[in-house]
Amino acid sequence: MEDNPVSVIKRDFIKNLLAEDKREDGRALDEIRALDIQCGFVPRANGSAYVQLGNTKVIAGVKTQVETPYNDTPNRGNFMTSAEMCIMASPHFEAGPPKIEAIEVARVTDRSLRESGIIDMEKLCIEEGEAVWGVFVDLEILDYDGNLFDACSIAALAAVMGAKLPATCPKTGREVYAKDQPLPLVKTNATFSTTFVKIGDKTLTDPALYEELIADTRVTMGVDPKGNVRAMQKGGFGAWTVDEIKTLRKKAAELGKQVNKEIQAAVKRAA
Amino acid sequence: MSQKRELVIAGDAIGPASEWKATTGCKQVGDVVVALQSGLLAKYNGKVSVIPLNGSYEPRAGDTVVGIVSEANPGNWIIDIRAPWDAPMHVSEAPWRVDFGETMAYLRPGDAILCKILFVDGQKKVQVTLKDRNLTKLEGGELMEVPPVKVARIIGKNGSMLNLIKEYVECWLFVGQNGRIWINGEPDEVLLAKRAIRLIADEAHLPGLTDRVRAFLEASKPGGVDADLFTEEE
Amino acid sequence: MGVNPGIELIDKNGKRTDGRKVDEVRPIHIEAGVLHRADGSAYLEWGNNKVMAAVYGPREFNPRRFQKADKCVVRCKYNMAAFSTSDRKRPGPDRRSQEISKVIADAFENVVLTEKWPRGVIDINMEILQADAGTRIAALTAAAVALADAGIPMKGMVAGCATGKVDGKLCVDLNGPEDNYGESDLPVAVNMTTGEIVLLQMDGHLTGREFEKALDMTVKACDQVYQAQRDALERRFTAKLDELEKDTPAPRRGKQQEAKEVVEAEVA
Repeated sequence: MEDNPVSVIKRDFIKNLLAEDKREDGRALDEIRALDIQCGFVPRANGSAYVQLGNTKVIAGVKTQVETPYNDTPNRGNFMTSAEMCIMASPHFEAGPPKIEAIEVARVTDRSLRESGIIDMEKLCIEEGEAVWGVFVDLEILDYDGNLFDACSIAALAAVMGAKLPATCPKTGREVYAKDQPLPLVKTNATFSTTFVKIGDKTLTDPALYEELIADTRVTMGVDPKGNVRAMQKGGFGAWTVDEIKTLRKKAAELGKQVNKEIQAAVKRAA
Repeated sequence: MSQKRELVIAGDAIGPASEWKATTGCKQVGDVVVALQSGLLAKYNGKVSVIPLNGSYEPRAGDTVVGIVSEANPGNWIIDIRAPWDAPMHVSEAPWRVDFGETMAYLRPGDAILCKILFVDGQKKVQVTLKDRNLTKLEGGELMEVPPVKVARIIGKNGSMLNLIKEYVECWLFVGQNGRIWINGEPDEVLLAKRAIRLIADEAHLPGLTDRVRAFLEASKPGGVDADLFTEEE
Repeated sequence: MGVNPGIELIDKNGKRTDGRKVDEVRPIHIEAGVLHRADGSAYLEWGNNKVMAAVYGPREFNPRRFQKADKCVVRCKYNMAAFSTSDRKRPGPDRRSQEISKVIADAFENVVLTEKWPRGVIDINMEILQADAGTRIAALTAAAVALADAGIPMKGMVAGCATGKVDGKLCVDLNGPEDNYGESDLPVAVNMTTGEIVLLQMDGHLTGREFEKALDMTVKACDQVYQAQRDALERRFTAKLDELEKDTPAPRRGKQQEAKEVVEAEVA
């Protein structure tokens, strides 16, 4: 993502701190950064959330539009997540078509939401074979200070949870519902990701920029607070042991409980 | 220092040119002096200047800066000195006898050096050198970056602010003119120094800075570095 | 410019749909220095527009063939977030956003002291997070604050506004419905020090006399925009001042110690 080399001094300093189980910003190894979630940041969208994870800033916006269903799923709505790494987010991001990293972030976010079944896709059907709702989650990455996966995933979930389907079809102006109604959500299936990186023999939660840049390997886990797994993505050139992955899965579920509370509270505040 | 400083925005008329002579950050346009930069106004002895609150590093020959090697080519290294331009360093400017194509054996991308700006020409071609006293490859410690315009405040008058930090923090500090700072010491000491420097950079333009920095350090480390060595004398 | 289905955009008292007078600008609020990584940044709310702008540079322009030997290039990217418009906008640049990026870049090239950085580039990125008419001027207004926040020397601040014709009447700073059914649009940006026009576009239909009046109205309205820009920059740099003046801590004097220095720092 960032192509400038991290200075040897910076890398060694982070490693020396880690040797004493310390981090630059004073966090414990398994602590996430301060999280701020504002739902409804873009009232014009059907749902939206502004998320600040440390200094990383992301906005998720949900747009719904009426579409023709696919032939093989005539009674199911459509769902898609995309991410834009705005050039303002980092001195090293460049204009152009979506970079491979943006696609990866979007797809992992997409999987943890889609596979969790939090949106009842069948209830997005307006008329079987004719018209269904398409739900688009678009992520704007505004400030990159590490761990886009979790910031995006939390923003996407918060935006979806607060999103509403319009009463009238925006294309035809035809009335679909009596009034705007919430997306058909399955309340228990809130899933978002938790990311870990390994530097040497230390595992860290929610890597900040330089931790992420010098990490040997990364794993992002889309786990719900009960521990059910919906999405996983390993990244980086290093490798994890089987035991490490199993332990982290439990840790992700544990850490997710607090974050989940914050998401629910943010959605409630905006409602 | 205690008087309230006036904030000007680029394009503001500062005063009549008959009363004020424009120096840095401003310019005489017709018969008025106009700010070319947003910053704090400094009027002194009929001269006026704008002290910028932010801005990129403008390399000047003779400046000592902390650079990071970004490329090692057969005959030179490219050094990132946080200036708007890359700064090459020819092998002849290194303190070692480097054979053609052997640059990687001495400095690699990611290595930090304490170097000096050799020259800047009209086309803003910059060259740096490692050939002078005290210039060296930096090893260990930590690097941090602050806006280059804050460097003077971080150093303080005759190094007073740095000395204040060193009263409380056991570390070696070098502040490059390009706003890149090298701090060496035990990790906890380095972290404390970084927080103090961040405070200075964030509040450099506000009055009472020295007192606030001292209060911060005192709260973090009562008595300073010598607290456990000596007893209070006065 | 759509066909008005019969909405009354200006009432008999001369008030517009949102209660404004014809020469009144929508409320503007700007925050400077909101992003961590950018060299300068600003977040702007103008009516229902929400815009984030950020600046990087000056830095060396790579690849080299794009460099200008005697000055730096101002490169702009205006982009609308997919969720910013009433129908989802397909991500990526389109002809409209590329044109807007160009006219904004031209406007800033005029005021930025580009000759200070030969071979360099200044990047300005404006993201429209919510669009509600007048986004190009909103983007430019935010970008000007981001440039000032980045400490980039300029001949003057750039502020902009637009005037349109609604129900046959000239109105400054059209809102969403007015923009949809209005008869013309005249976005203008001005160097607030010299009064020179640095951006000018026009769309629709105006008589010669209407055009002259619209231009005067727009330039006048820029003052209100400029005030919001100044407020943002003053808050950015003096926010802590008031807080400090209330309670300055009384420090305990620490012990002087002889600094063990390897390298003596030079005073600038």
